[in-house]
Amino acid sequence: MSKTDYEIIDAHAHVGSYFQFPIRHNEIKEIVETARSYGIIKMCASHLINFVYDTGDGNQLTQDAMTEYADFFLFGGVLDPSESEIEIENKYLAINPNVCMWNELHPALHQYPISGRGYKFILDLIRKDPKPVLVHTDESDKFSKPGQMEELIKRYPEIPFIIGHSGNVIGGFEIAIEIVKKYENAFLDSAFSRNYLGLMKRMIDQVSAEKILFGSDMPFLNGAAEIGKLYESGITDNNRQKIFHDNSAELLRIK
Amino acid sequence: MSNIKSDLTFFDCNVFIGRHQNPYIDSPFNISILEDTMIASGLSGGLIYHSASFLYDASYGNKILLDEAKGKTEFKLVWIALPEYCTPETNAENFISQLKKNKISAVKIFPRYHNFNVVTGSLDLLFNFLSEEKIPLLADQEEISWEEIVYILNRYNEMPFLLQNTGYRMERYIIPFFDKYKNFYLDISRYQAHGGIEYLCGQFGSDRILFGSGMPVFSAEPIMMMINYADISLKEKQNISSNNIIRLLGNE
Repeated sequence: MSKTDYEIIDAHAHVGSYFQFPIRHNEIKEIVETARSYGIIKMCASHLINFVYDTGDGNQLTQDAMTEYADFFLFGGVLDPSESEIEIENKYLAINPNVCMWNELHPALHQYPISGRGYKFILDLIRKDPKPVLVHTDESDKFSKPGQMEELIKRYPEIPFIIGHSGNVIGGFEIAIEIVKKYENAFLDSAFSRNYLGLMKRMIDQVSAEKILFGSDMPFLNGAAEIGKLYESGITDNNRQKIFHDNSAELLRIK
Repeated sequence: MSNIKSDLTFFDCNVFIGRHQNPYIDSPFNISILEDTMIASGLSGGLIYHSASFLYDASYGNKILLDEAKGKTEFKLVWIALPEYCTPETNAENFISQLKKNKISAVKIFPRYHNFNVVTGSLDLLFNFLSEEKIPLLADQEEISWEEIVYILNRYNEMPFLLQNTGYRMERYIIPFFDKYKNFYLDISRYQAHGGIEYLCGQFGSDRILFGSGMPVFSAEPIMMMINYADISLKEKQNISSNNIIRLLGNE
């Protein structure tokens, strides 16, 4: 089967199933095999059950996958801001030693605004042992507008923030770009299904390739399509190398 | 020269020219820009309509499509149809003869944007002709209801119906169409489902799955890569990337 010329580090992925549409081949083994066939060598993932049902089960299922494929998976930890502070802290303390990246805080599915108190509590915990935080954003969703992240990015300069889906829609992309231009600790995420012609190149031109991380959002999205957007005309080999590998290797401290 | 290494030929079933609402490239997207973009992406050709037919007036846009695409053999042309072109008293015969005369390869409809409903029978005369001639009818998923699609597929089973711009979350709607209607075809320009192509090929074969980009709004490379990397046979990939649309347009 085909492979890219890059050793891809995937900073935004999941495992599991979803209620709204069928996710096929979602067994851990199948996701690993598919991702490897695309040239992905490391994948930071969290279980989808975290976002719609329970973060206790979710983080445990993520941990199980990590244990089975320790050479491939990086632990993406999830915390739910609507839980009590004690519950959040206990879960944080239980999983933090294994967490590579907080992937992802999900205001839309947890139905909790990014600017809400629960997220501040979570980020106060994370700042004690700062690791990158991927936050789902979508300008069309009232809880996860990318502009709401700016306050947090400013407040926690020691935490690298990845603006998940880079705002997700026209209007949101522009806001995400402006934030990433402004703050050293802010990054764009390449995972979004609306692959507008010229958008990836615009992002690179505006924020530089060093500030974009590759995300497949597998198995939510098709990983090959997410890779394909980096092959649009005008994107150089050098910039692909940074986005596919180098930036995440540095941020996630992968040797 | 495409950045994507592939032995496949890609013919795009979902392209338009003219003004558009993609803020990341210049507007209008005229035919020479389309040609340059296609060369850069490694596409051999495309099935195209003019956005003026959609945004302003169908007959105006259909005419300027002919003018702009004149002599461009890599493109097959799509005209937009409206109910008022298809009444017995007025224009049905005229519209149909114009389709024939200008070698129009497919017809597209926008029922929501153009304010009509297919189930009223307002396009039946046209659909009869398209069925007889086996000319494909195209519609975007957000522009037509599921009930209208059922109406079309039930009555016109000789007319290929190509559903375009269908999102990856819509699979539970589209599977029954694949299952029940042999004249149902899917453009995969927005169908970025994990394992989706593999599933459709396994269940229904590769003959009714078509490569499309959605240019100039969307980029071709993600869908090209999705086909390139799919865990299906080379023959199935060739069907999806170009053979199916070429067969549908009667150019095999």
